[in-house]
Amino acid sequence: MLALAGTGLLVLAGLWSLTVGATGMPPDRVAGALWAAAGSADRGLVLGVRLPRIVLAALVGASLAVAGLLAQTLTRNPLASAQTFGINAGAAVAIVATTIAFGAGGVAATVAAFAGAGVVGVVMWALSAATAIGTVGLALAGMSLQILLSALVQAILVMNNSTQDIVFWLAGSVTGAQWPDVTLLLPFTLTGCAVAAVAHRGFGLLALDSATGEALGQNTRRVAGGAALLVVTLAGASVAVAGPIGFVGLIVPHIARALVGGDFGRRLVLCVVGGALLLVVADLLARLVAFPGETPAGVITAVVGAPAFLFLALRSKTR
Amino acid sequence: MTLPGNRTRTRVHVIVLLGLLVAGLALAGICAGAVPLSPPQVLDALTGGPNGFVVLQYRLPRVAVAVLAGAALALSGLFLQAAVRNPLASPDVIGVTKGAGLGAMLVAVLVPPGAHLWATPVGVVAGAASVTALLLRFSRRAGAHGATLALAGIAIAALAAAAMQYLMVVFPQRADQAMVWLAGSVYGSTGADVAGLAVWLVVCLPGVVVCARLLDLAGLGDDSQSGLGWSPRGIRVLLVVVAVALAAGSVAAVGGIGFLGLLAPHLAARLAGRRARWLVPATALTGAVVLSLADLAGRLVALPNELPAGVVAAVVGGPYLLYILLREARVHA
Repeated sequence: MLALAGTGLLVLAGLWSLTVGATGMPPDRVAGALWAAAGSADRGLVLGVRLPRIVLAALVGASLAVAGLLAQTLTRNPLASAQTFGINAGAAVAIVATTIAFGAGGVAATVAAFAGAGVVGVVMWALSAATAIGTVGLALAGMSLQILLSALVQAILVMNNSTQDIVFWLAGSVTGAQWPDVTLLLPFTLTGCAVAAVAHRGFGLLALDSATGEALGQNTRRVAGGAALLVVTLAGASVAVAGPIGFVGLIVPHIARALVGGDFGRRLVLCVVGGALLLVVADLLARLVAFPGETPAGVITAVVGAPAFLFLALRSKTR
Repeated sequence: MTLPGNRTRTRVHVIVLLGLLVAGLALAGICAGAVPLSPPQVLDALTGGPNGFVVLQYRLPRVAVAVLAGAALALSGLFLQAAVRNPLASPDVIGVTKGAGLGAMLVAVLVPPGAHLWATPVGVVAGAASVTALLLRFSRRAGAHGATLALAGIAIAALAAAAMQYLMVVFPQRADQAMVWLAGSVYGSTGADVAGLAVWLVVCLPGVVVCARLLDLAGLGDDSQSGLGWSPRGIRVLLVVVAVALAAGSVAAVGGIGFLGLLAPHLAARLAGRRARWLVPATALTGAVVLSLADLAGRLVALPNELPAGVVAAVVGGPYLLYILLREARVHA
C-alpha cells in the first residue's frame, strides 16, 4: 500500500520535474513534445535532456538507499551507509584519479569505482568485525576516511585547474545526465535489487547475531559477504554516474523502518521506491533554489540528511 | 626496572633531535627551489648578499609559515583528541576546517576584492568560531560523549560543505580562488602572513600553556576529574576553544592542510610517550617537521611544478589513518 503510494508520488514528482528547467514548459507543451516529430527542439529537450536525468536520479536514489539498507543490516549499525563508511568517496577518488591519469571514462571509470569502493569496503568490513569499536566509533572511522578521501579528490581537481568539476565530485549531481549513464547504471541497480529481493530472508537474518543465524541453518559468512559485495556494487556504480551523493542511503532505510517496522523484505521495497522519490525530489529542488542556475542534488540531500545524521548519532549507544 | 632519570634523558634527546630536524628542514627548504642555493649562499643572502631577494621575500616566509602552521595544527589536533577522548579527532574531522572555509568563501563572495587581505582571516576565524559555538552548545544540551561530539562536528561540517558548494554554483568566478586556497599550500606566503600567524600564536600561547597542564588530567575519566575538583565539561570546553583558535590561525595562513592534526600527535606519542610535559613540545615539533617535509617533497617531486603541501599531507595521511584504524580494531577485538 505504502509502496504503491510512493510509486504514485514518484511518478508525479517525475512529471513535475519534466516541466521545470531553464526553458519553462507547461504540462501541455511537455505532452505535445512527446508526440512531436523527431528532431523538434522540444522533443529533444524533454526526451534527450530532462527524461534521462529524472530516470537516472530515480535509479541512483534507489541504488544508494538499498546499499544503505544492506550496510545497516550487515553491520547492525544505524549510522551505516555507503557514504558514512567512506565507500562513495573511495569510488570517487578512484574515478577522478583514473580519469586524470589515463583520460578514461565510461566503463574504465566504472571499474575504477568498484575497485575504490571495494578497498574502502574491505577496510570497513575488517573494522566492523571488531564489535568493541562500537556503533559511533565505527561511524567516526568511516567518516574520517570519507573526509580524507574527499580532501584528496578536491586536491587532485584543484591541481588540474578543474575547480568547476569539484562540486560534482564532492557533492554529487545528476546534472547533464545522458541515456548512456542510465544504461550503465540500470543493470547494476536491477541486479542489486533483484538479488536483495530474492535473498531477503537471508539478509534479514543478518540483523540477528551470527549464532542465531547459524542455528537457523544459514551460512552467515557467505550471506554477509554477498551483502557487502552488493553494497560495493550498488554504491560504486552510482558514484560512477552521479558522483558521491550523500545521506540518501543513510536516511531512507530509517524512514522505511519508521513506516513498516523492522522486516527486511518490506523495508527493501520501500527503500527502492523511497530512495528514488527522495533523489528525484532533491534534484527538482536543486533546480529551483538557485533558478535558473543549477545546484547539485547532493547539496540538497546534505541539508536534509546532516541533521538526521546528527539525530541518529545522538540516539545511538556509544558502545 | 628503568631508572626515571634515564627515561627523562631519552625524552630530552627526542625533543632536541626533533628541534634539530626542524632547523635542518628549514635550511633545506630555503636552499631548494627553481634556483638551488648552497647553505653558505643562504647565510650570505641573509646578511644582504646577492640572493637576498629570493631568500627573504620568498623562501624564508614560506619556510617560517610551514613551521608555525604545522606546529599549531598539530597542537590543535592533540587538544581535540584529548577533549573528545578519541584518537581520530582532528580539526578537519570535527568540522572546524570546513567552518573556516565557509567563512573564507563568504568573504570571497561578499567583500570587494580590495579588502580581502584583512577580511579573509576575519572570515576564517568567524567561521571556525561559529562551528565551535554550535558544537559546544550541542555538547551542553546532550552532555555529549566524546565520539558523539565528533559526529556532531561531522554533521555540522556536512552542512558547511553544502553551503560552500551552493556558493560555488551561484558565484563560480569568485569561489574558484577560494577553492585553490582551501586545498592548502604554503606557496606564495609573505612576510605579512608570517607576522600575522606569529602574533596570533603568541596570543594563543597562554591558552596552550594552560591546556598543556590540563592534558594529563583530560586523559582521566569524568569521575576522576570531578573527584580532583575539576569540572569535566570545563576542561573539555577549554581544550576545544584553544584547539579551534590554533586551527583557525593556521587555516587563515595556509588553508586546509588535511590530517596533519590527526597524524602529528600519534607520531609524537610514539616518540615521546604520553606525559604532557614531553608530549606537547614533541607534538608541536613533529607538526613542524611534517609540514616542512610535505612542502619540501611537494616542491621536489614534480619539478619545476609544485604539488600543494596539503596534497602531500593527505597522501601520506591516508595510509597512516588506515593504520590507526586497523590498530584500533585489533586493540578492541
